[in-house]
Amino acid sequence: MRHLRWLFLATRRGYWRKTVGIFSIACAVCLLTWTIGLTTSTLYQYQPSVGDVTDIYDLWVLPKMPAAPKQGMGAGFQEAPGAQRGPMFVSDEVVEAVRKSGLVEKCEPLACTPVQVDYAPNGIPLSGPRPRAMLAPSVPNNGHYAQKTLDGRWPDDASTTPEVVFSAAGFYVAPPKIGGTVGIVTRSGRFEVKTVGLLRLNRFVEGFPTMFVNKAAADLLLPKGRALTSIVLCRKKPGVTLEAMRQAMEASGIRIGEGIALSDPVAAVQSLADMQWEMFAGDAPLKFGLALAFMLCMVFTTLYTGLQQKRLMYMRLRSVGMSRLQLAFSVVYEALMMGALGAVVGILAGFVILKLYVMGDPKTFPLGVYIGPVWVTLIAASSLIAVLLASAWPCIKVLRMRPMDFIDPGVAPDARLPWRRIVAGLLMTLPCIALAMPLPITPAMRTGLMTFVGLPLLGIGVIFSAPFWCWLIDAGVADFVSRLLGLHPSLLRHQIRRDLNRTIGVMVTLAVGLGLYMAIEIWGGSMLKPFLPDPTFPDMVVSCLPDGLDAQSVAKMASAPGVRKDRFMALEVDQFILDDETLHKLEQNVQYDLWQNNIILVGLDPKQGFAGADPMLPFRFREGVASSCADALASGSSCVIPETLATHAGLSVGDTVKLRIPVGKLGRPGGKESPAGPTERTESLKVAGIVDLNWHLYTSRANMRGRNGKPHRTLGPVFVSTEVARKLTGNSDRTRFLWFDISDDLRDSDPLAAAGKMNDTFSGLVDVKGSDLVVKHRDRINDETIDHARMIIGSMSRVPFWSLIILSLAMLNLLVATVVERRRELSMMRSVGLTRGQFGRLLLGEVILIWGAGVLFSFAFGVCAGWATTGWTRAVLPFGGIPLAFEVPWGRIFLSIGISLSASLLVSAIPIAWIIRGKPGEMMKVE
Amino acid sequence: MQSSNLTKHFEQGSKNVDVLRGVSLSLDRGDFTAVMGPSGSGKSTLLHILAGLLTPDTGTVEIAGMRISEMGDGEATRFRRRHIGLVFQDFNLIPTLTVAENIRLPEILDGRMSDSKRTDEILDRLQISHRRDHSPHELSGGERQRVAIGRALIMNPEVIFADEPTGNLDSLSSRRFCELLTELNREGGCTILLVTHNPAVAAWSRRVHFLKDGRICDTLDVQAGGDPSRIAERYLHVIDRLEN
Repeated sequence: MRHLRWLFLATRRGYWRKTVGIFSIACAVCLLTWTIGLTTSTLYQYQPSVGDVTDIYDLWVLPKMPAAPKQGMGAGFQEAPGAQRGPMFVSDEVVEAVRKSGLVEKCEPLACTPVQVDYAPNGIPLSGPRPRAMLAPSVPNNGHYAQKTLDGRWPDDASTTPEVVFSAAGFYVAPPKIGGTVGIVTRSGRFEVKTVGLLRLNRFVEGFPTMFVNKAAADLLLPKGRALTSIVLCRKKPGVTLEAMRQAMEASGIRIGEGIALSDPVAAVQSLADMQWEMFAGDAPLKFGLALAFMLCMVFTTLYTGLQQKRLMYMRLRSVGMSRLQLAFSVVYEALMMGALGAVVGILAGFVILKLYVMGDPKTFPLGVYIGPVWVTLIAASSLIAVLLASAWPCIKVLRMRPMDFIDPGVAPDARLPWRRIVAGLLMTLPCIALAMPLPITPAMRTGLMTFVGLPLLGIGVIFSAPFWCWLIDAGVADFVSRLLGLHPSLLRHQIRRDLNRTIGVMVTLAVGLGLYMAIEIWGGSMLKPFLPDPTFPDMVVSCLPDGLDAQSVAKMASAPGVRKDRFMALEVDQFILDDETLHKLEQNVQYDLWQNNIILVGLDPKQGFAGADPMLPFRFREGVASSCADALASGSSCVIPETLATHAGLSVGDTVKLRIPVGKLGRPGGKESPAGPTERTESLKVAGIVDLNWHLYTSRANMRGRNGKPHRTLGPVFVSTEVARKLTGNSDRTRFLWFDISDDLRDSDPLAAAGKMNDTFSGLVDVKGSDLVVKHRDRINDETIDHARMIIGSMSRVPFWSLIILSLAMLNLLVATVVERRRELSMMRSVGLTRGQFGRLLLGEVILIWGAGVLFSFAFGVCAGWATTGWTRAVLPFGGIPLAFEVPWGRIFLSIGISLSASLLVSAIPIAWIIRGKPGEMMKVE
Repeated sequence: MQSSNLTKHFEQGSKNVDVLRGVSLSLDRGDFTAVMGPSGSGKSTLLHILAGLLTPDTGTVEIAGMRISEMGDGEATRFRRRHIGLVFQDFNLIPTLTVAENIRLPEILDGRMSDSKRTDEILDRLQISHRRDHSPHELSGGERQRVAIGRALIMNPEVIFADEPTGNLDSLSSRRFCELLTELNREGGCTILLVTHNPAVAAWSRRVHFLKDGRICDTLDVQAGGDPSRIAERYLHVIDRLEN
């Protein structure tokens, strides 16, 4: 090893090159350290933060819902009607068993009720569903619960004002201010309460209350009658274990695990830890993969550049007797030295950044940073493995070369491109593209094929095709860039093709960040597109739940200011399960367990909706004609279905959709006054038309789904006439949903403001008697959908986005390689009249051209990978019949290209300025 | 060309190495002069200073009345491009350019429009017209050196500086190269300064300056078609004298 170390020292040169390599490794390792350290530090805090929530209680009993049984048809669906569900309360029997066990010194049954918090920080409603709270009508431990975390005061039972204390853990934005009022939505309606205190807790513990009210608030918010116990808080006697408690209760005849669970702080911490690790596992592969790919690319370009730099030295050493293996070992030695240094610097940097972050949030991290030695070792080991992998190709190159091969054989820059390899590479991208199509294969098979065939071939294929992108830029853009920089076109022509391996190395390095970012954004944009509410829906949707409005109120609203004349429609909406025959057809079509088994029946006025030159619902008809559908719906049991359902169930115009209609009072399943006999009947609806309609988030945000115990997942809306719908639902007099278009004076208003105005108008006109009247603008739903999607896409694309900036460091390696390899040529050019300015622009031109090739390459990869993952996601996730969309978010793509260019230019500016500063004669000095 | 009292030192680690210690050299228009010296004598450094590629520590260099040693980098570069021709030992052709483009490189850098007549003339003179559109890697060593001369001639320079131009050529190619230089000097009136350690090459010049330890220690006037052995003998004599 000593002579290898000597060899390494003797051939040590290229401090810039190695600095870039070490810095790159350090950045990647820093990212890994940060990712893992944040998770381990968060886990480290769980014990005290759970302790803050559980306070003096070290044991609690809560209901545990059993897993939904598999039922064959529609087996993936969780809430089949009539299925037995576990109790959502703790029975008196269980409470008694706890008390009688003699193992607890405190036993407090609490009846907590789930409510929604209608909260709008700074007047801006939160996007997505309202936050939920578990409301407890009293404060545990005789009002001494979680005292050390309380800001403000506990609610006063003597006060006539409804008062509340919230746990801050329920709000992912700033919690409500003490002294302010907040809306609470219950089954009885919406009520205003005053916030008098805030618990500075940052964790949930399952079952524990998150909202405490006084008597006045309890009378307002809680249902009348005796509330059922939802959790029993206990304090064990000293020396009692959880196991002993379990045995004692089972001795009393209580079966733990069947509807009832015992928990303690240890179990609570473990449960949180499991969730945290699940979240970590969600995006860790992306971050780890990115970090390793980043290290691989940067170390590869560093080592490869080193080969070029030390070419003559290697020739001399091989000539005097150094073996290939010894030379290869020196390459590995260099890689390991860089890896070790980079890992140390990276781990330290990651730790320091984490420490600073944690110090800035002492509330969340009271115990500071924690990252164990095992993780540190794993991070260091993975970085060393990455550098070893990166050194493989340079080693192979060194092993294959004979002494005289190290002398530059003379470049033939116009040498033919490896067209066969390029074509093979392009063909290799096809399996991935094909696997995204709606093929008749199971999700498991698709996943397997994509993982082991599609994506690996895509990776290899794009690399094989890389010379093509190089050639394209050289042939198409080099002249233009030359002229832009004030250079003769001949000076930049073919330059990026002189050393294809080096150029491709830089291109791949750039693509790790830019290509991945593009792929994620294309995937996100494509997945989002089918979910954006269709612009053909009316401007506003109104829900009045749970009791709806009478006909008089509806009439008043129809003529309210702000409502466009004759563009107001009352709807009858409810969900119905499809019959077994249709479900069977669905399963046959999709080849996996169904996640949805129902439709949303939407009853409307078909003439108003579809007939005439300017119908209120200008849906895009894929089959059938709007006017004929209007007639068909008006005259009988016909329906219009969305294309998603038609595709999913293999339905066409003329086919029949069959629904299972419950028989009983008000058409509700298992109604109390069910007649003797069958509790269901089948209703057939003939398909009169099929529409292309983005309905998913619209129906969700309009509260059309998941009412009265119905499942939230659905196969889509089925439009029928109001008469047919009311006949099936059994509701003849109340209206719970309305559609309308707004008048022109409101059209220019912000959607949220317009909806708020209409809400105020309607609230002033009608008495909703405890129901919750909600007015939503279609465009607001659109914005909320986009915000929610951007949150998901943003969290995935954040790391590639930042890495594309750091990966621009590859340009530094490129410049070093250029100057070293072409030292004599460049010094000659300086000698014969190349000014410093021209020299700088020449180097800049090369940077721009290689960057351009990298962008093309990244875009090609991004499009293929984005398309492939879109199709894959669509096939494996339970959205049901979503059309395969392909959307390129050009704005974001161009933004990333612009940032990549800026970063590349920024990184190159100082090195170029440094390189060109020398006199020509100094450049000509022998190395 | 006039140069007086040129000195130059380089720093090598912690040491200061004086490469030139007061060199004064003149060339009249039409001169063909060689500078000989052992390795490390400062020949290349002298040529680089005279061509404006390096700045001397002290002393001045004037070419065609312009004081090149006091010009800024940009001005010196433009002057060099338009008034000086350079030929190097390693040819240093640009592999991505054709032969014609390599010859035209100073024009390209000067932003001049293509003057194919001048390029054709040079190609004909150098007898490489048939290689006009070839790449450098397709040429022999001799052909490459001729392209390098063509590049040096394209702008009708005041003076041509050649640094060990035959170092990478075989004897036949070297001879042909020297014949060409002589022809350019005699018929074209080209002023040439040649740096070499080869007496056979120096013999083609009309004056030889001997450089040792950064100083010109002797000068020999050479008749046309001079005897290389005489030059070699004189060279060795100078070395011996100085060493003793």
